[in-house]
Amino acid sequence: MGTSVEDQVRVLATHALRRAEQIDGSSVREPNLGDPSVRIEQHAAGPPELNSHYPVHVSARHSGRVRRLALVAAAIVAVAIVGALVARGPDRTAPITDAPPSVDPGLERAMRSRASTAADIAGLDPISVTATATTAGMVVDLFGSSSACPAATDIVVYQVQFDGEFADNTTRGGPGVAPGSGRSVLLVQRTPIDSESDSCGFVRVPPTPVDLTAFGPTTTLGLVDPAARLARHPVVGTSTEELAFGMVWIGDTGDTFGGAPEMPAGSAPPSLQMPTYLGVSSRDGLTLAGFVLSEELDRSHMTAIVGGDSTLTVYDADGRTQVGTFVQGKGFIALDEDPASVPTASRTTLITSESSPQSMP
Amino acid sequence: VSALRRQAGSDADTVAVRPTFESFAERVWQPLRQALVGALGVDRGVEAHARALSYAWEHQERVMRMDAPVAYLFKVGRSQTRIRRKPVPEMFPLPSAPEFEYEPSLVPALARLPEQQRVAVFLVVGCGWRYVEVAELTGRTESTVRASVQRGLERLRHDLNVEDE
Repeated sequence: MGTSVEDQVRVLATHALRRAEQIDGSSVREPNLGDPSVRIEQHAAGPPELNSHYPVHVSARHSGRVRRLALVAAAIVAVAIVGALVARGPDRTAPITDAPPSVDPGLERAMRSRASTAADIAGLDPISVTATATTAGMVVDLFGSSSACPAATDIVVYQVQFDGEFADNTTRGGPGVAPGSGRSVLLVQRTPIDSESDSCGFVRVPPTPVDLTAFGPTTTLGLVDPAARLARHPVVGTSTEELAFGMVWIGDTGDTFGGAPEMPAGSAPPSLQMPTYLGVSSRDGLTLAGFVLSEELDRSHMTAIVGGDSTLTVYDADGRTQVGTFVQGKGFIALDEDPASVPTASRTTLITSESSPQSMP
Repeated sequence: VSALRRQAGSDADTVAVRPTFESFAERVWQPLRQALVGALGVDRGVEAHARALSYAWEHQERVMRMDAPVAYLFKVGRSQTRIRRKPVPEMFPLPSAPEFEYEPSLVPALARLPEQQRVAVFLVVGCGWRYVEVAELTGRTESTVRASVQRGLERLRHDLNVEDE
C-alpha cells in the first residue's frame, strides 16, 4: 500500500464513518448537524502534529507481565462465572406474555420499558403496550394484513427490535422495510379514524428523537419508511393551521399505507406509472397534499423533512433539495412561488431530480 | 380530557425545550458517533448512536446537565446494543471499490484489538482526537490512552507485517 499504518487507519475511519452515514442517511438528512467526516478529512489531508510520530516501544518484560496477569485474572473470572451459573440453576424467569419462544424475555422487558417511556413522553394516556416482537417473522405477523393490527381503542406503543429482512415489500400492504435496514422500530398507534383502516405504522427510533408530543389526540400515527430514510424527522408537529400535524409517508401509488388516506383522486394518474409518492396528512386525517416523486430519485436515499415552520424539504440521493411548503387545498408550493397564484385545488407536484417542482394538471 | 390537557402542556413545554436539546444534540452528535463507530464498528455503532441519543432525549434534563455527556452516552450506547451471543458482524465492511485504499487485513486486525486500544487508535489516529479527549470519554488517564494508542499501533504493525517506524 505504501502508506503508514496511521494513514491507513485514517482512511479506514473515514470509510467507516461514511458507511455509517449511508446506513442512517445522517449527512443527507441532517445537514445542520455537521458532517462527521469533515474532521476526518481534515486530518486525512495531513497527519496532525501529535500523530506524526509514535515512539513505538513496549518493554517485552512489561508486556509479558501484563499478559500473565491478564491470563490469571481471566481464569479467576471464568471460574467465578461458572460457579455462579452452577449455583443459580435453571432460569426460572417466567415470560411476561404469551410471546413466541423466540422472544427474549429480557429484551421484551426492555422494549416494554422503552415503549412505556415513549408513551409517557408523548403524554399519551391511557396506554396499552400490547405487543413486542424480536423476529422478522413476528413483525410480518403484525403487519401482514389489516386484521393483524389490533383494533385499538387505546394507544398502542410497540418497541420492536428486529434484525431480519423484509424481502417482500408487498406482504405488508405498503412499502416494506428494505432488506437489512431493520433496526430499532418504535411503533405508535392511536385509535384509528376509520376502524376499517389499517392503522399500524412504524417510526424508527431516530438519532434525533421523534417529538412524540406532536401526536395529537385524534392523530392516527406517524408513518415513515426506513427504506426511504425518513426516519430522522418522521413526524414533526407544527402549530400552523396548514399543517397541524404532518404525517409523512412514502408508498406506492394507490397503496394505503398504514391507514393513510390514498392520494387525492386523480392526483396520480396511473398512466404516469410513478411508483412513489409522498404525502402529508393533516391532524384530522385528511390528506393535505401529495406529490409524486420521480422514479429517478433514489428512494433509498431520499429524505423529506417537515420543518417546524411547515416547510418541507425533500432531498434526493445527490443532496439536491426541493424546499417548499404544504398549503391546505393547494399542495406543495415551492418557496419561490407565490401561494396566491396557485389555484385552490388539490395539486400534485412532480419533482424530478433535475427540475424544479412542476405543477401537474 | 386529561390527555388533552397534558398534550397542550407538553406542546408548550416542547417549544421551550426543543431548541436547547437540539443544540445539545448538535454538540454531542459527532463525537458520539465517532466514538461508538470506533468502538463497536459501523453497524452496531450506528445503532448504538441512535439509542444513545434517544436515551438522551428521554432523560434530557439529567443528561444535559452532565459534565461529560458524551462519555455517559457512549456507555449508554454500548450497553444498549450489547450483543447477545450472536455472530459478530463485520465491524468495518470493506469498500466495494475494486481498489482498496487501505490494506484489507487492517480490518480484522483492528477488530482483533482490545476495545480500549481500538477506540484509542480509531479516535486519536483515525479521527484526530486529542489524548485528553479520549481520556475523558473512556474515563482513563491521558497516559493510559497514550499507551493504548502505542500498543494498538504496535499490534497493527505486527499483524500487518509492517516495520516499526
